[in-house]
Amino acid sequence: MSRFADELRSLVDDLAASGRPDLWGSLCDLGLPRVGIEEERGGSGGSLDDLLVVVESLAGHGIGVPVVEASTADWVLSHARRLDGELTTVLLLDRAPGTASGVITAELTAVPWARDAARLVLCAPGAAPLLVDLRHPSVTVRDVDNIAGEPRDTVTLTDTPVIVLDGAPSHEVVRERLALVWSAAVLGAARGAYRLTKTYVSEREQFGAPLLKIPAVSGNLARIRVQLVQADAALALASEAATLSGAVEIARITTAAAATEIAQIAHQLHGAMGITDEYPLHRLTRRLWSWRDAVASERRWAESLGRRAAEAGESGVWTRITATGR
Amino acid sequence: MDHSPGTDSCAELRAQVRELTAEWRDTGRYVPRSDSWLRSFDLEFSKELAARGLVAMTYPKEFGGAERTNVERLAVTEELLRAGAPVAAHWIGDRQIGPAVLRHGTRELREEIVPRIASGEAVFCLGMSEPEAGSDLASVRTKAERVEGGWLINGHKIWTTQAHHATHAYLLARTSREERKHDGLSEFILDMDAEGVQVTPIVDLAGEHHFNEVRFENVFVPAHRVIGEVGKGWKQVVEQLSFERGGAERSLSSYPVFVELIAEAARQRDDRELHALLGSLVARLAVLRRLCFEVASAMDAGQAPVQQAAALKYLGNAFEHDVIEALRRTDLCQDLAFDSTFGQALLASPAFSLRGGAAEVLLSLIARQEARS
Ligand SMILES: Cc1cc2nc3c(=O)[nH]c(=O)nc-3n(C[C@H](O)[C@H](O)[C@H](O)COP(=O)(O)OP(=O)(O)OC[C@H]3O[C@@H](n4cnc5c(N)ncnc54)[C@H](O)[C@@H]3O)c2cc1C
Repeated sequence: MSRFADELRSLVDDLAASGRPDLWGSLCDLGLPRVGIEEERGGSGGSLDDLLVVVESLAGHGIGVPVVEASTADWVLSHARRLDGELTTVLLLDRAPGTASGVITAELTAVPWARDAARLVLCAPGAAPLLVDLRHPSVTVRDVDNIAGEPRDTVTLTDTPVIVLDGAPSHEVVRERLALVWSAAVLGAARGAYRLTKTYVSEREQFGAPLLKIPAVSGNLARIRVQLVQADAALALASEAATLSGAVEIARITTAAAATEIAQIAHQLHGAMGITDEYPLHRLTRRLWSWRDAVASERRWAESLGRRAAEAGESGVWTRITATGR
Repeated sequence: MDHSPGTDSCAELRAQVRELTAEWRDTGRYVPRSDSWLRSFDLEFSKELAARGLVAMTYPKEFGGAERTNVERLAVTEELLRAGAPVAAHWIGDRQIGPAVLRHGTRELREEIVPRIASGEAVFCLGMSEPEAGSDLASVRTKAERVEGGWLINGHKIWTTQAHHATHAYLLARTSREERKHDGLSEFILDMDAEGVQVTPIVDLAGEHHFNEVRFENVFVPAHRVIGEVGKGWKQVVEQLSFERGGAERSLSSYPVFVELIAEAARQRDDRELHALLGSLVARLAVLRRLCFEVASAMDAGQAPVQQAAALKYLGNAFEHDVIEALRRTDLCQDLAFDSTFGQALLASPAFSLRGGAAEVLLSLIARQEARS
């Protein structure tokens, strides 16, 4: 667990409450997206756990900023000593693009925040990550939004020059980190949806008393709590248990499942109010729906975890999940 | 304070249990089964565990314990459940009554009872439920009246697991009528061979006899057999329930089925659906283990994590059910032979989310906490 969790949380809460128009600028000025990157490499210091706290807290306010992408891209760049002040985003590919003679031609879909970013880190299996200058004249960006209204643009590269990021982490390592950071984001948004729901059912009256007095309502709120307990434990497991292989998959599967159930119950308990544009619930639930399957779907993580479990056999599975003594 | 024992000691304990269970299993001294912590009774096995210091692990040495942590105990109980070992003889006493007596009992009671739990001699049953007071435990009616030198018990308990094998009973009884039904309750320990105790079997839907009705007619209990304060039993019961609910047995009752599921997934190499299903169950199990660890750590820190244990039991029982349902995705569910792994687990399954507190009641407990916080 992060030693600075409380401080970081209140810092983010204050920023979120301040209603600043350029929240992202303020976050960058404070170096928050570079928490978890060593100072010698140009980061803000602190651990990955600290970054998870930042991401989770921001997500809890339903704030849409490119913190997951920027923090991951910057972390990759820091290993190649190429950090600078510009917004960099990241994309994982299933297959390496052809990069003959230092240029690349490809159409990339669902590139997060491409329209705002200056650079893109591209990670494919079996090759070093590549850096693309998104402002290069050979690059075109077409705006596409996901269901949360966040940029997931289509980027066309035509003989665009790329830089090979020697010394940067491999595709698998970046994928794990991205998955863990997304898990924290999902947990944050889920917690935010829980808080809103709890407040709502405590204040809204029906049949002469707060909704919370109705057993079916309080039972459903308890079901949200139980999902959060599970998601919290999964994230704690993943951020502590470096030795537990599959811990990140477990976090991803658990938080995705929690997101699904919590979004559904939160809307149910809010009644019609929850589906209005004016009320903030949708800022959280639309993100839960977009984020729970980001990078790879819950189903894919489950399938790969299950396949490895089948290969390992019962004793392999058991030994692995008990390896930490926990 | 850091209560976490070294990973090494847990690994060593696990190895010790694996060796013992393998030996007993391979020589045919037990057959692994689902729900072994409730159904598989073998006093000899419990005594063997006791002789190796694997019962009463967290108790003080002066009362026969091993002075180990709850986290270490968890490593042992997990391995026993995983092996489907016959542990019902000591489970309840070890898990719940020993710790309750150590926390609240007089010196005399501790000296009398605890070492006998530690050696495997004392076999406990839990006299909480009554026909009129299932989920509403505080409405028990069994009465304890003060008499010369002790108490006289009259009443009727039901669903009492292993009462027919038990040497001792834990008993929740009313010692006075108060306005609030949570007041006036007290906890006792009584001898099952005392005059006036009558045990009648209840056969379950699988045709098995593990629980009972127990009647008490003018049963005398000596004064020192009260646990804690007379009339203030409720708070102690609630604490005790975190020991009852917070263990690995609330997630692993159907583990033998999970073992089959893993093997089947290995055979069905191309069944991606099955792999995904298995993957999500593995993820849930890993998280449940983590929650067990958190509850055990809280106990090591001297807390009684009532809500956390309730959440764990709720989630664990859902997992136990879903493991059984998952097997229906395969052809293994065709084997519904009475003593098949699947058949046994299925017949045991309705109990998972009832015993130790029904699922709905656990949810409402968590909900009450939500309303307060
Ligand atoms: C295998 C097994 C072993 C057991 N062993 C023991 C033992 O050794 N000692 C012992 O003392 N007891 C034992 N029990 C009893 C067990 O703890 C009780 O079954 C349990 O507490 C529920 O009580 P009940 O069965 O009377 O159900 P009831 O209380 O009658 O409840 C029936 C249903 O109504 C629901 N319900 C009740 N009240 C509420 C409410 N307020 N809100 C929402 N839903 C509610 C319950 O969830 C349940 O689904 C055992 C039970 C089983 C199945």
